[in-house]
Parts: sequence; C-alpha cells; structure tokens
Amino acid sequence: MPDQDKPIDFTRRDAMKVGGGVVAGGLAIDPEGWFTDDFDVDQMQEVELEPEGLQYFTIEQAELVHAMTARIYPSDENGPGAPEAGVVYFIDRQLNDAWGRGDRWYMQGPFAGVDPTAPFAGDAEPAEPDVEISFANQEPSATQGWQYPMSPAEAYDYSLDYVEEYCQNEFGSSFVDLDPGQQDAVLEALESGEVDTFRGITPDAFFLLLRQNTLEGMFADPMYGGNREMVGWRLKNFPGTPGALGSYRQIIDEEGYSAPDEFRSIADDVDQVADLGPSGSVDPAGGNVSDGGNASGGNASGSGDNATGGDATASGSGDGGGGNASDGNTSDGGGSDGNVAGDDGSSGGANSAGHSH
Amino acid sequence: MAQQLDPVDVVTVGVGWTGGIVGKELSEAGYQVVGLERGGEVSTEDFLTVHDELGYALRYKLMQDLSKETITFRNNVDQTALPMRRYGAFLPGTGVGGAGVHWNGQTWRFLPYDFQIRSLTRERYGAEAIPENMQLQDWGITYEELEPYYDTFEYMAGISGEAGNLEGETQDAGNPYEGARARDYPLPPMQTTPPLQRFMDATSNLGYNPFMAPSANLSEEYTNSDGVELGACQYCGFCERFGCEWGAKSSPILTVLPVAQQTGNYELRTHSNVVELMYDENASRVTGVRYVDEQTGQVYEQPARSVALTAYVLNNVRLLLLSGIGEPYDPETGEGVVGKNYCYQNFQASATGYFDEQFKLYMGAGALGASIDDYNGDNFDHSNLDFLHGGNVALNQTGDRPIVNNPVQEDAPSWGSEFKARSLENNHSTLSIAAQGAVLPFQRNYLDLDPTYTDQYGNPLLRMTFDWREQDRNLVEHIGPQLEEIMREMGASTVEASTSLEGSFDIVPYQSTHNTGGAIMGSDPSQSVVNSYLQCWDAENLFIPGASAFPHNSGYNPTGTVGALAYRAAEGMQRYLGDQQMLVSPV
Repeated sequence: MPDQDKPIDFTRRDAMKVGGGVVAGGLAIDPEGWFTDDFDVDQMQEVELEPEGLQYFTIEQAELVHAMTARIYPSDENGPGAPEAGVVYFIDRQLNDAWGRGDRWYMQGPFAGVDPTAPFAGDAEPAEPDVEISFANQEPSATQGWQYPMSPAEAYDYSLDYVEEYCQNEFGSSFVDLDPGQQDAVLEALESGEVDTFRGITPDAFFLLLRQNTLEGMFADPMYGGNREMVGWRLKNFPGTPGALGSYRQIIDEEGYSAPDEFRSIADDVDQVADLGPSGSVDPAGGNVSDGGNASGGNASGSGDNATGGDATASGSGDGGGGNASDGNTSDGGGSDGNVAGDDGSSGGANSAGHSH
Repeated sequence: MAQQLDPVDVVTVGVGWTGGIVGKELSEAGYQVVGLERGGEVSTEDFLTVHDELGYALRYKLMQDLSKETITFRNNVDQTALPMRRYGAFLPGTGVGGAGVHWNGQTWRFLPYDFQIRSLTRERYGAEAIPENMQLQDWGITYEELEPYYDTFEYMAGISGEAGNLEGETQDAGNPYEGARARDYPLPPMQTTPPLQRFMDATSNLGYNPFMAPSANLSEEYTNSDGVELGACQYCGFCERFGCEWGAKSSPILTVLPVAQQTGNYELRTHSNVVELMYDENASRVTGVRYVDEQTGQVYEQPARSVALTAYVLNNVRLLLLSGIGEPYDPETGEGVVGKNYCYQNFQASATGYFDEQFKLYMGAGALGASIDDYNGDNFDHSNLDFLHGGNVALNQTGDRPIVNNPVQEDAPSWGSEFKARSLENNHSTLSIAAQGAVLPFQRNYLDLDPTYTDQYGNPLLRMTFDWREQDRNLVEHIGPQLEEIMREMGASTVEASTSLEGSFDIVPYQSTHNTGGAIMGSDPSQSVVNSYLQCWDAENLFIPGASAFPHNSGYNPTGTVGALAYRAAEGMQRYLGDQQMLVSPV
C-alpha cells in the first residue's frame, strides 16, 4: 500500500515499483517496451547505406550527406554521432516529405534577385524587355529570410552538386574520399560562405540547413528515422517523452540532476494510448462543463486491474457521482501542494488519481 | 456565386481566445452566434502523443500554412518587402483555439502606466521626453476601468499567481508594481523550482522584488467561473508550440468554447476562411462577412447584426484594409489609422550563465517563471535615461528540448567534436534570463497591403514595415548589464550577456509572437480605429478585440490584456445589440 499521505508519483520510476501491472498516468502498460537499462551505446554500429532503403537521395547523394553529417556531429570519445543515429536516413525522409517539398512555405514569385528573363539573356531572341520585375535586380536583405527560389529538397539537390564540384576543383576528389581534416576544411568553407561553386543559394545558407537537419536527425523522435535506439537522447541523458500522460510534478522541485532510468519514445506512448482500446476516450480535462464526474488532468483513472474495468478513459465518464481527481487532495490544503493524485488506495497505488466511478 | 445564408446576431471572424470569449458571452446572453474559423478542430486527446519536438516545435504543426497566406516584410520604406517564406521571428497559429492552444500561458496584466502612457510620461518627464516620431498614445481606458475584465479573464482561465497589490495594499509576495487587483489570483503560483529559487535569491540579494510569474498552466486543479474543470500542470516540458494532453494549460477549447456550445446558441464552422467584411460605408456598418469553405471552395455570405473581428493581430488589420474599413495609415504624414502603431517585443537584453551544478531543465512548463518588474514600465526613474518604458525580467523554465537546446559558449564552434563535447557538458547546467522589452510606436513602423504578393485567393498580403529604433537599442544597453549582474549573483561560473542591439530587426530567428497594433484603441477617431469598447469608429456594429488594439506593446506577454479586452468587447456588443449606437462619444 502506498503512503496515503504521500503525493502519488506516477512518473515511470514510481510506476515501475508497482507489482504486476505497471501504470503510468493510470494506463496499464506492458513494461517490456521501455526497459532499456541494458542498452550499451558503445555497441551501436554505423548505419549501412543501401540504395533500396532510400526515399529521396541517390546512393551518391546519401553517401555525401552521410559523410558531411558525420563531421558535423561526429562519433568520437563522447559517444556515437550522426553515423550511428542514422541522420542520413532522417534527412532522406524529410526531403521526401512535405517539409522537403516546401509544401508549407510560401513559394510564389517573384523572387528577389532572380530575374526571370535572365536565363534567356544570351539567346538570339532576348525576352520581352517590358517584362518588369521591379526588384529582380535587388538583393534581398538578410533580415528578410529565405528568398531562394527553391524548396529544401531542391536546395540539397543543387548544393550537393556544388559541394562535389568544389571538392573536385580543390582536391581532385569526392568529399567522401577526403580525409577528415580536409572534410572539415570544406565544411568550414561552406559555413563561412567561401565555396565559389554555389549558384542560386549561398553556401552558408545550405550549411545552416544541413547543420539544423543534422541536429534534428540526432535528437528528433526515432519515428522520423534518425536518433536510432534513442542514441541522441542517451548522449544527453534526456528521457524522451515523459509518457502519453506523463508527469514530473512530484520531482521537478528536487535539487540537482538525475539521469532518467529509461528512455522513452513516441512509439511507447502510442502503445500506451492503444491500450485504451478502440472506445477509449481520453479527455483529461476536456472542457467538461461540470456535470460531475471527474475532472481533470490528473485523473487517468483506473489502474490496471480494477475499478474501471478496462475502461481506461482518462477522464472517467463524467456522468456524475464518484470521486474526482480533485477531491483527493484539495482538502488537505497546502500540505500536498495540490498534487493531482487522490489515491484510492485499493488499486495498487500508482494510478494518478481518484476514480471517477 | 456566393451563397447567401440566413442572418444571425453575431459572427466572430476567428475562434481563438477573443472569438471564444465573445462567442461564449453573447451566446449565453441569448444571441445566435456563428464562429468562423479558417483552420480545423483539435482536442485534448489529439495531444496524447504530443511530445514530438520536431513535429510541433520545428515543423509547426499548429501554425498557419504559409503557402496559403503569409505576410511580406521589410525594415524600412526604401526597401522592397519580400514574403516571409518560412517561419522565423513569430508564429501565427491556426485552428480552433488559435494561439490559445499552443501558447506558453504567461498571463500578465499591463501596468496602470501603460494605459495612460502619454499623459503620465509628459506629466513626469515633460513633453520633450517623447521623441517627435514616437506616436505614444493613451489607450482611452484606464487600468482601473479594465481591472474587472482582467479579473473575469483570470477566474475563467484559472491563472496561477501571487497578488502583489490587493485593493491598493502591497503584499509581501507578488509583484509590488502591479495595479491594484480586487482579489487574489484564483490559484496559487507554480512551484518554485531550484533554478527559479536561484533567481529569486539573487534578485532579492541585489535589492529587487522577485515573484513567481502568473501562469495559465494551472498550479492545481480548478473549477472555473463557468463550472469548467481544468487539470493541474505536470511540468512535462512540452508547452509552447504544443497542446496540453492534461487539459492543464488553459485554452479556449477547454473553457469558453464548450460553454458556448452548451448554450445551444453557438455554431462553430471550421475551415471557413473569411476573406472580406461586407461594409456599408454610408451606414457606417458592416452587413456581414464573406468567407470561403476551404473544403469545398464554396463562397458564402453570412449576414450578421454585429461582427467581432477576432483573428490574429495581423489578419485583423489585413481584413480591415481588404474591406476598405477605416482610413489606411500613411507613414509619411502620420495621418490615417488602419495599420498604425505596429509594435513588437524586444527580447535582445539577456544573460546566459554556465553553471557547475546541473538542473532538471528538461522538466518545465510554459509559464513556469520567476520575475522582477523593477525594470518594467515606469517602475524606475527615466529622468536621465534615453528611452521610455522597459521590460519584465524573467527566468523561465519552459523545458529544454534536445534539438534546439545545444548550449555552447560564444568561443565554441557550432559543429564538430568540440561543439558536441561542450554542448553535452552544458546541457543540464545552462540558465538564461531575458528582459521582455516593451516596444513603442514609431511613425514608420506600420502595416499596409503589399503591392505585389498575394494569398491563395489572389488577395494582397499584409506588408509589415518594422525596424528597431534608438529607443529599443538604448533599452537593451541599460537593462542588459543588469541582467549580467543578476546572472553573476546567481552563481554562474561563466556569464555571457547580450547588452546591445545591433543591426536591423531580423525576421529569421524566432523571437516572439507578440505582434501588436494596427487597429488601435483610443478616444479620438482620428488617432484610433476602435473606442474603449473595441467598437470600430467607422463601423458601429464591428468590434475588434485583440492585440491589434494595443496602441503600444508593454513589457509583458499580451494574452492577459487580450483576454480582458475581449470581455470588454463582449460587453460592448451586448450593449450595442440593445441600443444600436456608438457606445462612446469621440473626443
């Protein structure tokens, strides 16, 4: 039995102490999915590049991006980096997605600094002189942001060619065959805008995109194809998601830093939500206009084996009666600091709140 | 052809905090209300798998689709404005609940000084203290007049905080500079975590007056003034740009909208993008709105007895301009009103401290913060200073998420092994404080329609012309060094401070979605778009609450004041629907 007076912590650590079913946020969970204590980051292998595994890149493009990101966030004495996290696969998928296509970017012309008649300037019949784009010859200000006439995917397509062209000019070799010092020199030249093979986009703009995407691929949820085995989060001791109805409420006021006991991704949360079953409605506060029942937030009712009988609605049915999440704790004033838990004692304790039935 | 719909009493253009509040108040009063929202619906359940930094924070799941509509931007009238093609400095939202879904929840009242800023500045420092091109205006309403509406908003939303001034009595805790409040906050403040305690101790040592910032992340469970039950914040660290799966961040979808819908008088229409207010200039009235059903392309005309323009700031102004309501502002002469006094927020004064200790910084909440107001408003003497106003100074523990949080000192590279080593080392031991600087209005910072670029329907985009002024630079130079001192007092082993504001306003890095002005309130129709009831001088049945009504932007987050103005507007609309006349005489 949990201490009745102690605010119930339904973070994973405490949840794991419960015998039998594990309850996080009141939802019954199979713990297998997120016990990862025995994981050893040093055993991680660099991802292999297979042409058939790519959605957007050619194999040559993928090898180049793989090599570049390996220098931006390298594998070194501080642990695995982009090669093990699969950053190249993350970028490959992003470029094949809405973001890569610039679907939610404003891509209508005219583009400043881009004269649509210019490509024909050398032709025998020049374009109509009265095509007037008043600011086609005006360079956009840096403060006006991205004004390149290309989506992120196109920016990669063009820029990777420019990088290879530059490496051939400077070293007579592909980037992927340069030694790490030479590769770093190329990246430094990109970052400082000194790669003269670029057209339409500046080398530093491409570098910023590549750097940002590298960090995204290191640390975004693994469902996006990078951060394999949550390696980025392990490097940082970042726990990942706190759970579909996770909480740090009982531990945020503790001094110091405590590393997470385990790491958790959205796939784990999805499993957790799936356990609600097809009829499970989750409505933690849900704008319930007070027609009784429960209430709020904390109340993810039902702990594993009792009470709600598998109806894992997080809010209870709101059909009147029953305890609610708030009445378990508001009566004792400041002592419990308004924690959400109103323990029902009988249920094994780790559920987050009182029952609504 | 547009399809004509049956008339209703009230239409709201947009369904966020302002549209939700107006919708609830008017439907409760028995009026038939239609809420038109260009985006779709979201619910608390949608956020059970919300802990996705990439999707929400960096791919902007809850934000407006810029391919359909954006703004254009330039720093000054000599430049050509170009489209904001991708997100940067600010993030207008979309969908039911608006920014009220993905906000942080920092919920302030502006200072009494703010509402009478021109009069009080002249009174204390003389007329010459206001530069000629600074269009400082009183708001046409005082703090005391607005106080009941603040109170209503706070008790509806369940704001957690600590009163600093109860009925004129300064309290031990709380903000001693705040205007008198009739009663305490409905909920106690958020938890004072170790980093926040450090800030409180340091600022206290330095003679300042620290307090816990007011929060719409609820410190405890709460049943609000409408009987709605809200959850308690779990400090999960996924707040700003995310929705809350606990129902513990107050939002329109949790509070006012369910109440409105329960009246039976409120109809929500999603994917309904208003493209024009139908204006009868001779009658000084709007007859209704024209909107496009984004799912079918069908155009509708919805007549209404009264219209509330409750979109985001930028769209409020744009729709006025597209509909020909009010005289567009002219930056050369300073004449005209629509688009005037566009302001923003100045976060450039900041200090970052690298500590030997580690903190649990991945935990947090959007409005989990400790503050001082000693450098805000006119809370300090400006006699020998070359700027007006100031900013709230805060340490906010909003949750350090791993993609964007890679703190390294200024001398570190931005990539490679050393970057990796140092960002990992600093990961749990870096704290930042910043001043939320007020931005005051200048003649050539304004909004109008762009001559070149158009939205998905071919209508002109809104054009923003904005740059920092000496006022902004001087503010940063004064407050920045104070922040550096505070961070040293907090015990950082290394402090790096931003104590100057160089260059022009840059739309690339995220700064703040606190755009304000353009349809400002006031007592003189030649100087303002709306009166103190947010009623449009040029269309008596049109009400325009929102931050578009701010004559200047204060040193706080805007939503508390936006909420108060929305209640004020809702009251005005009810009076108008009874009396059918202007509620305030112009002066």
